[in-house]
Amino acid sequence: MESVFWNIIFSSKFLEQFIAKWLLFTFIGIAFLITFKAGFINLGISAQLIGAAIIACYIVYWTENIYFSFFITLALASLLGIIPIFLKHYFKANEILTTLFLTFIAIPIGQFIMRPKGSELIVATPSVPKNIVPEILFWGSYVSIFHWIALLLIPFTWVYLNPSILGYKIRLLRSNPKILKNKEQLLVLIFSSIASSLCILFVVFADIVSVKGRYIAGDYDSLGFIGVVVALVALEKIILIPIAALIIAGIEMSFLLLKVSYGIPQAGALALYGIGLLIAAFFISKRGNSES
Amino acid sequence: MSLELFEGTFRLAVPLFCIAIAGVWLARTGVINIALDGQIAFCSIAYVIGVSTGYWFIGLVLSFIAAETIGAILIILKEKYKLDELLVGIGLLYFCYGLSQLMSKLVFNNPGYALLGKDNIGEGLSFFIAIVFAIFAIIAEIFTRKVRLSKVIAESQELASLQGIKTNKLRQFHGLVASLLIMIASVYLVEHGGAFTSQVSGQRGFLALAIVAIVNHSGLYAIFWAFGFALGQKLVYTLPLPNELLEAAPYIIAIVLLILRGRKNNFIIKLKLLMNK
Repeated sequence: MESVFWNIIFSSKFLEQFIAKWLLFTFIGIAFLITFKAGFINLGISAQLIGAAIIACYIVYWTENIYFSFFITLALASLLGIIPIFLKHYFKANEILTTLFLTFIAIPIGQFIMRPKGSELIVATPSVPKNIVPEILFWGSYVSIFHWIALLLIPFTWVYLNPSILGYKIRLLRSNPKILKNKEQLLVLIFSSIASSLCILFVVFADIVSVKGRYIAGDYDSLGFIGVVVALVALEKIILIPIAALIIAGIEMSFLLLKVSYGIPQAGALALYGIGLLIAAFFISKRGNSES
Repeated sequence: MSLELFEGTFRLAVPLFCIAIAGVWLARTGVINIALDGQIAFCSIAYVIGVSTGYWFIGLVLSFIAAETIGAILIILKEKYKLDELLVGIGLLYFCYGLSQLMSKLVFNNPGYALLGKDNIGEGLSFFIAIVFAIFAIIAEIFTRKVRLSKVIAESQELASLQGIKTNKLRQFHGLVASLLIMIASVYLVEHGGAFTSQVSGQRGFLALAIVAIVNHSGLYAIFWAFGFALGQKLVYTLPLPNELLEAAPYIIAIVLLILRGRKNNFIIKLKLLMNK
């Protein structure tokens, strides 16, 4: 068993998978953080991701046009993010519940759309034609060029959240929303949601369309929740997101290894995330209390 | 209503209203417990582990300790360390999910699944106890002055202290009752399924949270809503729809209810404004 453990650790594929996971978690952490900074807790990132992944794969499969698919995917991800914003704004529906329920709705509906046909055994979208994504975009077999755009998103999001006027309004919306007009509040939230959907778009094209070539049901169901862990462990600081994502990817990969080598369930990672979140809650709340 | 539909509705509603009343009791003292769903999973595995010793009461005690521990952590972190209850709730939720699966692996060598031992209290008895507990909670809520007053804490802590309400003690008492209700709901869910699974709660903790958001601190309304919810779910199940869409139905109903509640509130606010004019 031990030899299996060490053999996997020192393989190049393990390193590639680790990097892919790290970058993926960075994207998702940013996606959650953008709306969280505006005081909107979006637990429905998985729903956005599932919807976007399915539509992206189907459109690329049907039209063989990756650019057209880009816009439609962004539009759908944004729409799925904006629905709970509208529900909160006009009907005062609690966003934690509506976004969470959207995820629980998206999972079975996604499975319904992708029902296996004919001889298919797994619930998945059709495979994207290989010639659509050029070879040059790849580094190894798990990481595509789209993954590295995650790193560009960090300075972009930092500017978006901090020195810009929109960033100021976003922070204002969380700390003192009454200063902003009703319509302004809605607009700020919609912009945040679109920016967060941009991160989801990159996840879809980096990991699903390019590397895997298809969306398989269940692969990304809990990714949205990991985004919450990453953003909070980073203490809501955009600069710390890659470090937090690195830690979480490390934990995830370690438990994957422990499962393969010793049969220890991956759920252990969940318990560790829980403890990490409690520690993060301590620091975030302390800061919030001293600020107020 | 056919007998089968009535029975099915009852079976769906009982654990749901127990969890919802637990959520309402906590919400009355200003504590929103996002971790309800995880707490159910944790209590369920504790019960199965207890029953595996051959004594059902050890299962009940372990399950209660599990519920109370999580509830106490939430209340202490909120009260003493002034931590954000939403963040703590999400943390506890993950922790409970992970720990319950780890425990099932450690004790039964099967992550996310553990068969219930033979020396259990039985589905019928757990069902009966769940109803009795819920009725007691409602009676206490309506007829006990202290519990009635607890609603003030949710409105304003300052107002509560002005009225001489001991917030801490009342919060602890409410936490205790909530833990009892969560424990009995978990026991019923395990008894009903005959085993602990990682999906034992069926996301009822989140549906109960939606009911808590709708009923405005009333346990009695929570029972009505839980029944309405269960009936709606049962009726949807009779429709000739694919399984996947039926799976999504409870959450669609929950979102619709949240919207309706928001509309009702908006209407009342507008009505009050008109009357003031």
